[in-house]
Amino acid sequence: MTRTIEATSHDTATETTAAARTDQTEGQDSPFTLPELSRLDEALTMSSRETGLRFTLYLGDLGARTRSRAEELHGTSGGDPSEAVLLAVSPGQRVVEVVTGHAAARRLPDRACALAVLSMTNSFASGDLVGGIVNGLRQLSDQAGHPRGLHTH
Amino acid sequence: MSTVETILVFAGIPLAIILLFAALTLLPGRARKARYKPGQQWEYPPVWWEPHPTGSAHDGGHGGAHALTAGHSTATSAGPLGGARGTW
Repeated sequence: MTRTIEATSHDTATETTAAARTDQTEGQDSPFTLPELSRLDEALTMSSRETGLRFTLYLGDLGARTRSRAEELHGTSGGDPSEAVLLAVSPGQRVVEVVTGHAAARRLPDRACALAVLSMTNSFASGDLVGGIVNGLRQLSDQAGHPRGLHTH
Repeated sequence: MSTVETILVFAGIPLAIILLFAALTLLPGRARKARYKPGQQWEYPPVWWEPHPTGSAHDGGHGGAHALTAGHSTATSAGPLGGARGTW
């Protein structure tokens, strides 16, 4: 489920950013080990299923204007953008952005996002990228809660 | 016991044991990737992970194989965006 993106409007697209990269190659040029990747995978999938929102995680450079770039990515994250939550982490710039669509923002107020961001940046500052992301996702999904009428199983 | 034997027994054997344990502790961690340190360059290509489609809950159930394209798209959210931002 690892997806590389084709950045059309941005200069992060290099020759290694080809869209044909699949799961077989992720052991070589992925920053994470396979157990870490499966932790991320599980955290993303479980928080999306629990809340009914669509959590996606972007890891990479966000350019000079990180907020507008993250919002642009959020708009193209697939599915219904109003129910999407984008977690964009740029370790090179040491920036993390959380973008919520307007329907998701009703269940995930900005204060809750700020709290999750705070705990994430704490982990990132000590060098724990995966742990920070997993904990941040857990906090966000706990805050968003479980809507009535959503069947997860 | 000659001098050579003494050195072998009292220096060689402890050294061999120490080297054995050093190898046992250091070698398994050799394959692990370098841990991220704050402030280091990030040279990996950008990656975008999305959750597994649930099959019926989301409309993307059968279209899971295509890569997400970042850039200008027709899909724009209809309302104000929320969120938060942080640096470390």
